[in-house]
Amino acid sequence: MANLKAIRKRIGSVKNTQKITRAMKMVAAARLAKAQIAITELRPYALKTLDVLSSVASRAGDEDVHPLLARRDQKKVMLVVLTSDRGLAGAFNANVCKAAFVRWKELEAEGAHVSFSVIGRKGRDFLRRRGADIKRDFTGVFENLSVDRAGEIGRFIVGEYTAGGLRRIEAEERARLGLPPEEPEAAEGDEHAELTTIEANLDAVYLIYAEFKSAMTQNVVVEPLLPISPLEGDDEEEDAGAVDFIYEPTKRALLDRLLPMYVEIEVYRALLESVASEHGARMTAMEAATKNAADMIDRLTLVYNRARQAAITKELMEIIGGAEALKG
Amino acid sequence: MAEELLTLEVATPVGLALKLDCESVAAPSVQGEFGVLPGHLPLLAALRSGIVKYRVAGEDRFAAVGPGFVEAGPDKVLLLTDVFVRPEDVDAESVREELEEAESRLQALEGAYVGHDYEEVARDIEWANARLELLAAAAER
Repeated sequence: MANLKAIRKRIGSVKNTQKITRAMKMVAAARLAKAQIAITELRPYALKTLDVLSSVASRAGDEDVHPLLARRDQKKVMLVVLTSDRGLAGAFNANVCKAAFVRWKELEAEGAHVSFSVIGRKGRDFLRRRGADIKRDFTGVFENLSVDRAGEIGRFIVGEYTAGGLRRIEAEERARLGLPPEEPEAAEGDEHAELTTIEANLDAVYLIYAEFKSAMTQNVVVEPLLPISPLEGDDEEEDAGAVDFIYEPTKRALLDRLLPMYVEIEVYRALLESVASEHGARMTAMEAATKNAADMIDRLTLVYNRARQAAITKELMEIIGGAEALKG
Repeated sequence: MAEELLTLEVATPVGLALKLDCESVAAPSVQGEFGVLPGHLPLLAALRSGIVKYRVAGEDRFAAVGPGFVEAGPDKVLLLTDVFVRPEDVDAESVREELEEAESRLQALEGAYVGHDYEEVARDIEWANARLELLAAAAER
C-alpha cells in the first residue's frame, strides 16, 4: 500500500502550487484590467491623430511623397516582434514567435533580407536560437510601460527606416527630375555613400503582436507599420477640395512631425494590446492550472483516504485475529 | 447674434484630458503663439511646449501642454499632445528639481547639441519651463 506519509506530503505540495497559480491568476487579472483601461484611454488620442494625419496625407498630393509614406519594393524588411519577458502565459509567446518565424521564412523566400527588433525576453531568446539578425532588443519594457518607452522604440524604428533612406530618395528624386546629383555629398566618396545607404535603410517594417480579443482568445497579427498607409476614404477625397487647412509651419514640416508621432502611437498601442493579451493568456493558463491542481488534490485525497482505511482495516483484522487466537 | 462658442478638446495618450466650450483659445505653435476665436478658418499647426490659455465665461484659464498638434476649425479646437496639466496639479518644488536635473544632464553633454540625447534633454527642459511659466501665469491672475 502507498505510503501514507508520502501521499500527505504530495497533497501538501500540490496545495502550495495551487496557491501560487491562484495568486498569479489574480495578479494577471488585475494587470489585465489596468492594460484594458490604458487601451481605452489611448483610443481617442490615436483616432484623432489618425484623423489629422489622414486629412493631411490625402491632401499632400503627389509632388512630394514623404519617405515614411513612399512605397518601395520590399527588399529589406524589419519585423518588430512583441513578446513578454516572462513565461507561464500558455501559448502566448509561442504563438507570436511562430507567426514571426513563418513571416520571416516567407519574406526570405521572396528574396527579401529580414532583420528583427524584439521586445520581450522570450522573443529574443527564440529568435537568437534560430540565428536571426536582431538589430536591437528591448527587455524590461513592460515593467514600466509608458508613452516615453514606446516613443523610444518608435524613434528607433523610424531611425532605422530612414537612415540613409532619405538621402537615397532624394537622389532618386533628383535623377527623376533630371538634376545632377548633389555635389557635396557625392564628393565625399561616392562608393562609400552608396554602400551605407543601401546597408542602412529599410523598405518596410512590420509589427507582430498578439491582439487582445478576450481573456480566452488572442489573435496574432502581422501589421504593416511602415510605410504608413493612411486611411483614405472616398468621402475624404470629396471634402478635400472644400476645406483646405492653413498649415503652420508647412504641410511637409507637419508631416515630418505627424508621421513619427503616428509610429510612436502605433507602437504604444501594440504594446498595450500585447500586455493585455499576455495577462489574458496568463490568467486563462493559471485558471486552468488552479483547476487541475484542485482535481489532483481531490484524487490524491481519495487515494489517501483509501490507504488510511485499508491500514485501519488491516489493523482491526490483526487485533480481531489475535483475540480469536487467544480465545481458541 | 447668439454667443458662439468653441469646443476645446485636449486629447493625450492617457485619455481625453479636457472637453469644454470656451470663447477663445490661445496656444503656442512652433512659430509663436496664436489665438483662435469662433469662426476661425481651418488651421493645422505644430504645437510646442508652453501655455494654453482659454476663456470660459469671461474668465481666463491656463494649462501647460507638451509638443503636439492643434487642429482648429470654425467651432472647435483640438489639441493633440503628449502631456497636459492644470496649474493646481503642478508642484513647483518638484518641477524645479526636474529642471535642475535636466540642466545638469545638458551640462554633461558638453556642447554636443545634436542627436537623440540632446533632444530628450531639451524636451524635458522645455516641459519643466512650460510648467513654471504656467504657475507664474496662474499666480498673476
